[in-house]
Amino acid sequence: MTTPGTAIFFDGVTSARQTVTVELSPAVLRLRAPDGATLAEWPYADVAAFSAPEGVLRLGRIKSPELARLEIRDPTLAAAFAARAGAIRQVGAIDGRTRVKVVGWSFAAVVSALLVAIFGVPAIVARVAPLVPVRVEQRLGASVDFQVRSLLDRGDHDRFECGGTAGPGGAPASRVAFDKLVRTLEAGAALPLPLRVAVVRRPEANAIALPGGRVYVFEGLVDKAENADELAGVIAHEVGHIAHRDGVRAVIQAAGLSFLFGMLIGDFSGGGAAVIAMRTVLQSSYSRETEAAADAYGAGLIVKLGRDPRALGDILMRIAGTPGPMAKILLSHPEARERAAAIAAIAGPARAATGAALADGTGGGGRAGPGLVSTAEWAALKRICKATPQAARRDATPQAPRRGAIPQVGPGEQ
Amino acid sequence: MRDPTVGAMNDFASPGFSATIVPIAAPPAGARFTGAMRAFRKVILRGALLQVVTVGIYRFWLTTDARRFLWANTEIGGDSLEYTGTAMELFLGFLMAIALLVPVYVLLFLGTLELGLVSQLSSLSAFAFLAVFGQYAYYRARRYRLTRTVFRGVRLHQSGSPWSYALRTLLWWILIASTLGLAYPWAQASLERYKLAHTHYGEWQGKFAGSGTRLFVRGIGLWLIMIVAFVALAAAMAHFVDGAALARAARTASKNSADGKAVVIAMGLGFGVLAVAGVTYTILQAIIMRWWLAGLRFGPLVVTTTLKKRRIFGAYFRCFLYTLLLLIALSIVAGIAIGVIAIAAKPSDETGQTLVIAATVAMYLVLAIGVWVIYQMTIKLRIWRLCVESVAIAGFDAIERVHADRSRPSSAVGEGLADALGAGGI
Repeated sequence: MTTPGTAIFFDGVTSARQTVTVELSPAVLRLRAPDGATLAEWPYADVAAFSAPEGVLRLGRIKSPELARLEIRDPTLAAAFAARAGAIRQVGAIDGRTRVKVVGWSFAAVVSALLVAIFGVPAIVARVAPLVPVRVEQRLGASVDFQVRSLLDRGDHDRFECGGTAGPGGAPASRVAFDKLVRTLEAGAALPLPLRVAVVRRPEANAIALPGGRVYVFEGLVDKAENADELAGVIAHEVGHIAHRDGVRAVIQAAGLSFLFGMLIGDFSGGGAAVIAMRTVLQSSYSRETEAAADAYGAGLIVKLGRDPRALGDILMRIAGTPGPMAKILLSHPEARERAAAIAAIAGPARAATGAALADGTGGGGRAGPGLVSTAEWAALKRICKATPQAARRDATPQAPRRGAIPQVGPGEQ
Repeated sequence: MRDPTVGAMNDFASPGFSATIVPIAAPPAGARFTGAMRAFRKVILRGALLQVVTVGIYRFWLTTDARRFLWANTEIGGDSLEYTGTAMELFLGFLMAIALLVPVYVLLFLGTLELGLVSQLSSLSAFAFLAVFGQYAYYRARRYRLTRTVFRGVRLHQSGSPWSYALRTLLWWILIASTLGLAYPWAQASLERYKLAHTHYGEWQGKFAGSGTRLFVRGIGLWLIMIVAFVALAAAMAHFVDGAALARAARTASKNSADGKAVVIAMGLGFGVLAVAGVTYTILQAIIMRWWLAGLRFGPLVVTTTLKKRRIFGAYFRCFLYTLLLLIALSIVAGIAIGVIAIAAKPSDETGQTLVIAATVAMYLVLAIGVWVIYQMTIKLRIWRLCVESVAIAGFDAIERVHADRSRPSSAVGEGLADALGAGGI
């Protein structure tokens, strides 16, 4: 027995709309023109439902190259068809099971990507960074240097660096003292590329290392340093970044993370922010490790030069002040107290090994051995940015280090 | 241009032919939108939440859901459109795009490493390249969408070359930039002519009849308003605001009241110009929409529209208003949350900080989802509906005799590229 009813038929050859009679015979769906001629016979197994508005059952054949469509708007006929054909395929429709699968596998993909970001990326970076030629790092450094300078130097460009240059009359005493300190550190470090350190007119108590051997010590830091060992400690920390090639690592890391998450997460509302958030947290965590490693390197270098590395811890504690309300996961540097403790831990065994021969870090003339610079040289060095008064000294008040004041330079801040 | 054969066909009636055509009167050649707001809101809200859970991977399924809804509920002359695309196709297109773009990104990265991080020139040319490539992707994505659109059992499709389209766009962009936007109407007309001339419904070819000059005449007032607004802004800044004070305020965050006043005036002026720009933009959108709809031709069909500018403006205004309300509601919630956290935990200790961060993230997500949902509901859906319902089509009887051609559905790689390059669409 067949249940007849009428429906609208498009044969897929032309766009003509035809009213047809639908017969639901046991094995096929038969469409008849008003004159009784059979227009089409569709086996139920081939029939699928396609996207349609509410109240319309739009049927077609699955593997047909033509887009023949039958539109049933009569609910009783639709019900009769459903009873006869059973469950048919809904082409393109998204059911609950698909949604669950998408959510589940997306979650698995994200977890997997996060694991790669946490464990895989640092491991890859550690192996790839040493392979980057020094020449490439220097070229990269030159362009980073250009950008950093334009960011930091907002005053008179000629007076950005303190201490002037060695002219025919010889460099000022402050510069000579500073260069002596730097040369001593460089000699101890034995870097694969030349170290270029300069003091620049910035009020913050901070220092940064760029790829390619460039270090900028801010005027605010020289102001805050109470003795040469403290300044030497900070520069030694920056030398650590250069020795570890942290600038190159940061570039590879950033590229790896954007690649990992940027591709996966599309441009939907909040997607970009999710990428940035993940990257910030991950990069901060990489950065904290990098900073701890640079501290260890710096402390080791100072010990090698026969001085007390705890001076670095002292100045870190002094400039850190009271930590602001910032969660640990967002900090690019470990907390000053932890850093000082870690440095002290390095100083301890070293002192024992050398028979308490390390200076106590109070000024040029320590108890054991000569200081890196003399008391007179240190006094001159302290005035390195004061040689020419007024003008560039627009803001003499030293400020607490502003974290993130220098965006994405690399993990080289202080 | 009317096809003379079609007119002749109207009077021609073979016996076999008349037997298959519905004898009752042809439905009015209007269009309507049959979807309920509620149903679309459900699709969008569920989609937005799943997007967050899946960090965006759900977007292929959401896009497909939304398109199925929009297409199926768009009824032209009594028959609704059908979207035949699937989420899996879009996902595949995304994978193809990744396969194509990964080497490009790696090369760009190696290039920056070799040439220096962001050499100004190379970043500019990379941006230009990606912008042009985005237009290429857009054109291919348009092909995907058209070949997944079926009306009365016949598929739409697109011919033409994506590279040619992208090149045209680039040339027009250069002209637009060098004429301060005055060339925009002709650019729009030319690009629409290219797109429509390469759009087909079965054997019918599309055509765009809108004229750039006409759009120019309608839009020039807005252009002048913007120019006047910018000149006025510059003049007012020069007159009322001490630039040195502004620079001082920006540099030192000084508490000097004169500097503060300069900042307030400058911000006020800036917001004023922004408001003017916002209103001008929405009116321009309305003008373009109307002009575009009235320029559409398909074979012998001529589209006319009664779209009201104020309705489009209303849609944008509603979006703005709801977003504002959402922001107000969120700031109240944020205030309460801060209070609760302050009572429950010391803001300085670890738990307090974690709570603050968690609250901030939650707030951000609600805001992002909220704004996106508002945008989809107030602008995307409403403007789609307004456009559909404003349209009347002359000569619609001819639709009974369009032959399907041999066009095949295209791959979704264009969609994937457009997705990866952010060259959006519906």
